[in-house]
Amino acid sequence: MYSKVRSGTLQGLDAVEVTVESDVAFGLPSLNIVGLPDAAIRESKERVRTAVVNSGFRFPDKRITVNLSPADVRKEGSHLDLPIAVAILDSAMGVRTSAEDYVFFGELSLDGKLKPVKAVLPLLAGLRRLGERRAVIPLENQEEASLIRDMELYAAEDLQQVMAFLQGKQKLVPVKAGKERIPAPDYPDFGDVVGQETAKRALQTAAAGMHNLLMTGPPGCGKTFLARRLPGIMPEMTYEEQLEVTMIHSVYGEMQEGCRLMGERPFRAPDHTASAAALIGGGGTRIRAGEATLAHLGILFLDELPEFSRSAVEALRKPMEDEICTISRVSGKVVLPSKFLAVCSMNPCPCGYYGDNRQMCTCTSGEIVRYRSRLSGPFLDRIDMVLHLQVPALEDIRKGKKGLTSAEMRQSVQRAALIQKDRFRRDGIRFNSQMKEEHMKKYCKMDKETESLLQQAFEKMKLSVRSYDRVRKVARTLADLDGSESIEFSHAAEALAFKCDQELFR
Amino acid sequence: MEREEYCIIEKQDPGYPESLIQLGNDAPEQLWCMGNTELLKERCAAVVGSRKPTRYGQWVAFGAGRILARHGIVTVSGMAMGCDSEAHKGALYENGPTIAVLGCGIDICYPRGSQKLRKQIMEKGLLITEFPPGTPPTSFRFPRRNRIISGLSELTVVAEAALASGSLITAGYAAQQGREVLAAPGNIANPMSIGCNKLIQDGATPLVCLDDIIRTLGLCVTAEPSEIREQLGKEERKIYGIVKRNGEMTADELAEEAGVSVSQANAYVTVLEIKGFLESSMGKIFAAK
Repeated sequence: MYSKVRSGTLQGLDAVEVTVESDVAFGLPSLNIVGLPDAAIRESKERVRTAVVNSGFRFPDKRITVNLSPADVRKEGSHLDLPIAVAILDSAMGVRTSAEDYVFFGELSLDGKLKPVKAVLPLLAGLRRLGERRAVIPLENQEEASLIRDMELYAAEDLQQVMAFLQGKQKLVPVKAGKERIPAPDYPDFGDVVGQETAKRALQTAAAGMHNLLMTGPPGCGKTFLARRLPGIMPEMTYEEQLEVTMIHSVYGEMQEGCRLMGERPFRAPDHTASAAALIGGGGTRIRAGEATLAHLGILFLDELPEFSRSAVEALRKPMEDEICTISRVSGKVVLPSKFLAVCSMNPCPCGYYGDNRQMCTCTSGEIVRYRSRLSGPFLDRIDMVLHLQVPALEDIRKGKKGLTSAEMRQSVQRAALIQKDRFRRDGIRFNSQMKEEHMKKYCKMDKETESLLQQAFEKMKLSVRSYDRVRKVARTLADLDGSESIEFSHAAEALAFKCDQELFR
Repeated sequence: MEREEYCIIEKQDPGYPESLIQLGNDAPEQLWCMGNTELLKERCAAVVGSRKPTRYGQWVAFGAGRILARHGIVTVSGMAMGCDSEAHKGALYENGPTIAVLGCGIDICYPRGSQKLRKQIMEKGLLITEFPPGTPPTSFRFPRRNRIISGLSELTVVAEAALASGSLITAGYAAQQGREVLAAPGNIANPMSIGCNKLIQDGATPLVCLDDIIRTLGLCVTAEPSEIREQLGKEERKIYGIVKRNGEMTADELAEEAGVSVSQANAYVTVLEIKGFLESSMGKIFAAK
């Protein structure tokens, strides 16, 4: 007798459908599992045999072959126990079951109980994308699985329940879709920032259009202070985005509570000693995601950018360009998503005080040139906006002038995000920073006067072609922040104030 | 690399500049030259300053180079980074003559990364040094080189100098040699200005406006075409006026004083920057004219 049951396995964060075929034939009693199983799956033989017997079924004393297809994909994890057991029982019992209608996950304990499996969320989300709509999962996984919205999920306690359900003898309660989200952490408020209104405007723009930002300025001017407040004004995530972020963090992150949706965009601030592997991911047989992936759809804050090792910064170029991290190892290639907002900060020189009014810079001009040359040109090419900060005047601080608060800033960011979502609904992108040439032609139209301003800037300020495009994208976001349909003269002029200037390249 | 042609002018040669002969024993025995040696016969003025100037110092040096070039005076400087380079660039900007006095062999490009400027000076101006080819750029040679800079020149303009700046050495030589020293006064709160202000205290002529350089040379200032009225709108004039009054300020300060939003202030600054009236650097805005 032959039967087959569906399940899945993960490759990176992508689920691959696995068909578990079982054939029970006459011959010496044996159980063979083929199809590139890992150690955990090979051992499942013994777990399945014992669990089947202890659940009150007769284990067929025949020659059983189990094949996991596609046969060339390496399968990992103990979650294939349940589908293997179901396939064997299905092929041996000769009773009609509805096993074909579901996908199965679950590790079996020797007494037949179902144990929770890891990474059930990406597995289910991936299979949902592949068109699966029904699944049977272990009871203890139901909370995490409840984050999946439009799938019929049935949680079972043990193998016996599953078989009774498949034979129509017993009903299982479908898992209700959960709504609970991890509450937003208490981000510090922009209201605490005194003065620095230009900086706030720049950060707001970066948040709204996901424009990579570099901040320079002497120590104490508030670079880190500002960056820490950025998560509080990021646009809200859609359900799909929340699911994606939650998946990444439940599989690769330190997330303890795998059963709740991450409602807020991640904010990652790796230390400047981070290696290339720490930033883009690495590892041998067990791939670990890097900060670039953990910051997916959120913020990657690189404080003191020139202190990062050159190789680490260069490694970020590809994720910044393609929005993915590719980790190639002997055991295979894993592609992880990494669309993040890069926010970098740096001092103007090694001692930090070059150009500062209060304190004398003690660096030699050679040191300053060397320090700046540590920034790689190709990396800077991927920076949309540069913000030069100065220490705010003492009187402003004393007056305690309150400017925009995070709540006010977020409101216009949110509005700009909605405008962009609406505009790009057919273009497969979400933010202005992702615009390609064809999108810019469509959406960055300007009147003659504005065009000529950019043209003059291009010549007089010696903009590169790349930074010229970036100015246009930033101008688009500034217009969106103001709720303006077209890019006005003032938007273009303001965008030029944040251009990536030649000064940094010297 | 292609071989660059250079020539040697001995002290007794007719081409040897009169101004250096006046130095007596201090006059260099020979000069290695590359470029237009005719410039040694022209009227010269030195422009020196910090190697790590503020935007203000750069502006003074560049402006001094420009105004000298417009009046046909040769700008002499040391091709160091910062003010020196700015002075050369200012002269070249007006297609004027300029002489760079090097502190190393004529065949050595120092500071590194100044190839472009070196090439321009070779083409349009003159490179000279008293050191034989192959002499490395060692810091103890620079002060000696400075006596040639001031020696060639009728006057020396110090654009910006901190207390321990090498430009003060040049100014000292100029005074010894009986040449005029002009120092650009600076903000007394700024450590980068102390050297210049002290020079003024010690008797140097304060450079109240760039035209002073030309007047000190005994020439009449040819007026630059006035453009402010024609080129700027009302708001732009107001913004420009505020920056000019304040010397340097951040966009936030400008927005507050002008009573506009920061986004408007930044937009105005950009437009004025493109028109060449303002400059911004490291978050601060300056008047460029």
